[in-house]
Amino acid sequence: MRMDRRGFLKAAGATAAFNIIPAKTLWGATAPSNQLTRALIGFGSIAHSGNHLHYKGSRLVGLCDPFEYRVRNGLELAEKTGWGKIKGYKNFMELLADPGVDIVHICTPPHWHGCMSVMAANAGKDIWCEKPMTRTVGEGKRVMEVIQARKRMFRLNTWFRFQDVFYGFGTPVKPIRQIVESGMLGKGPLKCTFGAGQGFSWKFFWSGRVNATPQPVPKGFDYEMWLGPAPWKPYTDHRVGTSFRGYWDYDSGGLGDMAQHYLDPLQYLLCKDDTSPVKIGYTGPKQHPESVGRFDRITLTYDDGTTVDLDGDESLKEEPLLRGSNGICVYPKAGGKTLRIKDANGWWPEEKVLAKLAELPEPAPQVTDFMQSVRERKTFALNECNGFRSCTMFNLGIVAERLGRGFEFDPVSLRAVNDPAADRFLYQSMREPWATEFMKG
Amino acid sequence: MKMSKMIFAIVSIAMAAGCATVRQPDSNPAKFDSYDSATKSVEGDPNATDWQAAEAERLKKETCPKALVASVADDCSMAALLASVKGAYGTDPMVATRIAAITQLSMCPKCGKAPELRYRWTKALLKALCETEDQGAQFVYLDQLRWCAFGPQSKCIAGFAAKAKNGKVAEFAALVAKEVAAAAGYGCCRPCKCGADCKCVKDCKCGVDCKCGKSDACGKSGKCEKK
Repeated sequence: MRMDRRGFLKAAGATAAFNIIPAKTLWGATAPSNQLTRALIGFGSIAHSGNHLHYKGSRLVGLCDPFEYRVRNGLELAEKTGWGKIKGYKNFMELLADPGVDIVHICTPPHWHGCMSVMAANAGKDIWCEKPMTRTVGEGKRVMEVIQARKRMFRLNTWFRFQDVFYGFGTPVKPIRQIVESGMLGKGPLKCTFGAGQGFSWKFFWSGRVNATPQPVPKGFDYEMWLGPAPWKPYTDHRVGTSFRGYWDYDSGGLGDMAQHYLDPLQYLLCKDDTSPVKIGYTGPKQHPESVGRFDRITLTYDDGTTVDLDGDESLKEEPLLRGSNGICVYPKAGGKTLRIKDANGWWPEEKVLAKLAELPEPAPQVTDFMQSVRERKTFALNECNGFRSCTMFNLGIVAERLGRGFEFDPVSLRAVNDPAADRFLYQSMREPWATEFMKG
Repeated sequence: MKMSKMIFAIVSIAMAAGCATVRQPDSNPAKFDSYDSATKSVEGDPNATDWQAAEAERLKKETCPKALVASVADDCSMAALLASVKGAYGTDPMVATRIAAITQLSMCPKCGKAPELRYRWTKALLKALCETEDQGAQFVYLDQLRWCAFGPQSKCIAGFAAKAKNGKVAEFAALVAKEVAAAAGYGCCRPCKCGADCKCVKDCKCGVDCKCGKSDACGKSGKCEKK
């Protein structure tokens, strides 16, 4: 049986363990031929960040984009960054067909994430996908199924469940998880609030225009490819820049753009990686059919009564991030060394908080190096399963926005309960040939 | 001489009309690559968030269920609302939002008036779709039908797709037809059971006497199909 590059690298590593001469010396672990290779699909504004051009343990070998100027910019930047002359693929299908690519990094707008992830998995690639994982629940379900069937490694490009300071909250997520796991917030349901008061912005400025005008497609831009599975609508420039975020067909405004960063760590610290909310509440204005606006409040309720309020109108600004059933509350850090805790008697002194955190057990370890995940075939910390669930949290909220009302959801069947209108948003069609590609495998 | 002057005038008027409806292509395709340019409203072309803020009171008043139902109380007012759609993106934003809100109200399982509204609304959307020459507006009508059309209406929409003059409209119509048929397959009886006595499906008179598609595409008076 022909061995692929990844299999060769894994076998080489295993064999090397039995040699007297260290593998690092014998095999040259940092030699280009031993590094995992990555290629970028999409080179817009996000792909210019350091995370995309560099990831330790991998070598960038190519990229593609429907805008010719972005391909040119990307190739120049890659060369300046030290990758030499990498390949500019004609399109992502050519990239997926290249056996020299181990990992694809999907940096497109969200309407492509589901279909590309499936196609990449079917092409034998491991996948690093930008958030949100998918634009709809239906797409996420399919991606999860195919990744598992094809035994591919998958990660999302958000990381707060395992590293870095959790936005305006001021601390990493780990101590919050420790507090929740300890049970010190009481046995009953928790109440969570996410908004400006807790350090999280819903970025309502990611909003489409309501008075656009169709324009000719500019030269050097493959609009058909950019649209991909999204329904064809007349080209207008604001729909395809960084501003794509403001249009329902491609993303869902600030909620679609930021929620996986915010809510995936929340799902982790609540220990709810294997379930979804059962009730979704919505208050806010009715939405324009093309362009995403704002919301006042979206409330996600789990089966055990735990609620998550997405506070759009800042009416919950004074609320803690977490309120336990016993009245103990968790607040963002405010100039001190750690998150703050308050109970019926008032604020805990910082020393008491630090002492409490020091006595709590560590959460279970996670695989946080994707290259390790790929080499050793170990599920990454934020993978297709827990990523699907955290994506579902806000995809449910987005459906409520579009419906202009709340609804109920079954986290097992992954369907709305007695609500065909909601299901039509949860499960949407794709344009051909992408609909067919999406169902392969 | 007079003929050439007339031709010149006609061409000039046509060019001026063309320029008035189509913005010149941007010489800079990176125009909205920066966060600043991408997120700000401009004069005469606000983003939805800013528009919602500016029109908050009016939006609340005109899109509450009672006002929506009253605004389309008869078929004439319904047709008039849909006739005010202009191109793919040129509809007054309040009108566009009201149209989307009516679609969602017609599908609301807790709204007593929803079944009757849905029956009339989907008929009106199909009629508007088939009768308009405005290809941009056709996208708008299809974009509402995908969320509310009944299962049997997918045949009408497919028939429209087969005859549509614009290939991209046809493509979108085919997608909507497929989506509507799939959605109906999942729960096609539910809208009937919630109070419309199945008239919407049994009669299958989806609004245009089959002019939009094949004569037998939507004219069958089928029974509510249980899946």
